[in-house]
Amino acid sequence: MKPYPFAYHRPTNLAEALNKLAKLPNPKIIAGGQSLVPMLNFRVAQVDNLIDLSEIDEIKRIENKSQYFYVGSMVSQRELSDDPILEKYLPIFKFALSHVGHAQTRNRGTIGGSLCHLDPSAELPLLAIALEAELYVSSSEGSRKIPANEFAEYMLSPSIEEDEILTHIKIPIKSWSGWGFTEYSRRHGDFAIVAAVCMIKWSEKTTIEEIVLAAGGLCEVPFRLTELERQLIGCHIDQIDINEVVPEKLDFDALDDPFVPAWYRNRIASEAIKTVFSQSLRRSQKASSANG
Amino acid sequence: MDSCSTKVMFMLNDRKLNVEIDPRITLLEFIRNHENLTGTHAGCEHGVCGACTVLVDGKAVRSCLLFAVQLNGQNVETVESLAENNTLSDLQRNFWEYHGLQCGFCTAGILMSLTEFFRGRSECTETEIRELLSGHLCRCTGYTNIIRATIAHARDQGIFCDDS
Ligand code: FES
Ligand code: FES
Repeated sequence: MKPYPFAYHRPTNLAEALNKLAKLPNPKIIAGGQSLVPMLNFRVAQVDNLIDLSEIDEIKRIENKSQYFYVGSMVSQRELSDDPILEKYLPIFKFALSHVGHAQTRNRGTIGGSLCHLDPSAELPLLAIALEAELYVSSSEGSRKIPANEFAEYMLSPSIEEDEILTHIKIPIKSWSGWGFTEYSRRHGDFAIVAAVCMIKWSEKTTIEEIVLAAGGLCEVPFRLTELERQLIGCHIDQIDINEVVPEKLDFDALDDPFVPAWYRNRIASEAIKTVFSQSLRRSQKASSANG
Repeated sequence: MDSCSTKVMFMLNDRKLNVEIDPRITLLEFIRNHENLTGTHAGCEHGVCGACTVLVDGKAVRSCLLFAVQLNGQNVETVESLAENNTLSDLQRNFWEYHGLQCGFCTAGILMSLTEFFRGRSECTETEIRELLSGHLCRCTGYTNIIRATIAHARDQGIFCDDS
């Protein structure tokens, strides 16, 4: 098994990479290659010019500035999950990263690579949407930022132009009172059939002030369940029966294949949402009892 | 396509290599067919089975998901680097003693993942070992003896914490 022949380029700065991307015929960016190389090996993807970003230091940094976390697109999943600041401020991110592939692929796989590949059930696009991250892309014409939910346009198709490179993402650090993350897959490390995220902020420790509920794997791209979020905002903790709020079978236009039909995904998603909501409640209670 | 040949320089088991190769050659193919280091096995060649795992700059990675040209300036270690003068390493010896393999197809990859895992580690649990091994497929052993051998090694190193 061998890819179609291609020429290989290893630029050492972003300007050079952008220039190559704009000028060379049928180019493709390679980040960690954990999704692209299998596609090349199977010849599902064919490229003439492969541009490797691994020696561009400017997009390999992790920075934490007051309310934001900046992560370069070429930071490996392993490196980010080992970052002590991430664990402190965005524990959900660290927890979810441990579900991305296996240790052996996280050692190579990058943050930017997974976001741009945009597999419907990948954890990173789901997190980016749930945490309202902004993605910064550059071309030789300039840079622009794209909110994560707009970036995730269609399955495997981010809203990024052919001459653009994702350089970094900016993740707001908010103090959520509780969070939950779960995913359902046949085996640990497989792509999730459905993954779900919940983050809650309480006012007076009893009323939901803010809530994020998001699902991945269910539809073409991960998304927020805004309808459910709206129903839950302002609710008192004693009045919420999550089994009532979340219907047993959700009714989204879910992905459908012979192994995992749409109705099944919708049912699993319902369970996943309830699970992450309960996890968030438990974590909030723990946090509030720890704070006295 | 010789016109595409690309120069790359990297370390392979403490040997410095300076080669010019077709960029589409994976590291797996390079170490097996160009360097004749056939200890590393080719299983699925698309990142699923872990048979091809080697260390790059000390980290366990799938060599089938890497092109050799991507390794410029990096350090590659394969299973051949573990034994010294025909003496098995402690980890290998434990696999031998606890029957941690049957056909041995998956073993080289597993040994390399574990090599990274044990380096510089001051404690480990069975859960962590199982989690790490989830990145490898073994079609023979049912994993039980692989886990036994690994735990035995962790005990030898005095770093095993029982969490079962
Ligand atoms: S041969 Fe590389 S993971 Fe299977
Ligand atoms: S020993 Fe045969 S595949 Fe593991």
